[in-house]
Amino acid sequence: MTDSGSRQVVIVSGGSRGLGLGILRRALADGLAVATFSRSTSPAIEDLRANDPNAERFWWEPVDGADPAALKKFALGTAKRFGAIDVLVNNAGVGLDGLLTMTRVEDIQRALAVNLSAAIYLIQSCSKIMLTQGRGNIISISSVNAVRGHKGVAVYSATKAALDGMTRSLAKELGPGGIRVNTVAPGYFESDMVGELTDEQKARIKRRTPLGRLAAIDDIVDVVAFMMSPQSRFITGQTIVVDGGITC
Amino acid sequence: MQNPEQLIHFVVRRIIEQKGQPAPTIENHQRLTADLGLESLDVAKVVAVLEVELEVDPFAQLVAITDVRTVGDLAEAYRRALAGETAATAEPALDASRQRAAARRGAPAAQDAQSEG
Repeated sequence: MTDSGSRQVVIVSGGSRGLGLGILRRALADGLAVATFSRSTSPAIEDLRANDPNAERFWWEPVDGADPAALKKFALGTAKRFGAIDVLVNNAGVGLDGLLTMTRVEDIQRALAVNLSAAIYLIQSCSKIMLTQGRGNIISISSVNAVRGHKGVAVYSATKAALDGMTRSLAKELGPGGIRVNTVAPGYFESDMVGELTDEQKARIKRRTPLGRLAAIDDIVDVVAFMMSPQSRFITGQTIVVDGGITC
Repeated sequence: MQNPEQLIHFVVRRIIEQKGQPAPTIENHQRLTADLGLESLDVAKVVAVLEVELEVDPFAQLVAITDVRTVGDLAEAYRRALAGETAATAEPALDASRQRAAARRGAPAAQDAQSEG
């Protein structure tokens, strides 16, 4: 591995669009080196690659989150390329709407693989690197659906609640190794995942939200940036809910 | 260039020193926990460092970490992994059982018997 010096290195899974893209753009703006993957590229990823043709601070690879061997290879490759892994943000996820009784098995398996198994395998690979460093910071993107029940998102809720539970156990397991583990649980925010909500559904969410609106991506990114920063150095094992108060 | 056993001894000693404990000369008969005072996370650190250095992880499939009591057990696990042993070659009986079970289900056993090269 090369020496990363004082530069922090972050892996953001699923960074091609939406919240992941917002998180990695903030990390780049804050001076971090960023490695990300997604199944396919996007115009935003291609712009970032064009701005850093030698991949000095930004690296993207096509990786399917359902492929454990590819995830491990990506983590180890990042450590070799940038010299360390300081932060892992488990952001990659797929939404899954519909009543459980009418959900296809392959869709359930895909959600479990991408939302949960991929996060576990990435954490396993990255935490090994972090243990050798004696420092690390793992943040997984959870959801208000892990905190409160909502009709039609049972499998999605299960994957996100599992991330919260794993986080609490890992915080105890890895804390003595200098590694913090937390989740950030966004409420409904303007993204592709709520793109299928009707205007009526969005209006209902706003009515039930004490702060009176859906979140903007930056509302979530600001909190993730705080959790990535040393300012959150004494927080571990927590789920930080960012939802305008809808679950309170 | 250290051989793997020397490297394992070096890494174990370094992890003990990082804990602020006096590190003895490392020998294969020493028990990781009872003799050397390593906790489970310390052993995880040893394995993580060795995976970076040796580019193998015997504990992914080949050996159960719970079978490792001594420094020598650790060295043997890496010897087997570096020699190219896999879970399938190490456990032919289990592999045969998987094949029979898969045949009963009418499915190929390739995924069940998947091994790490």
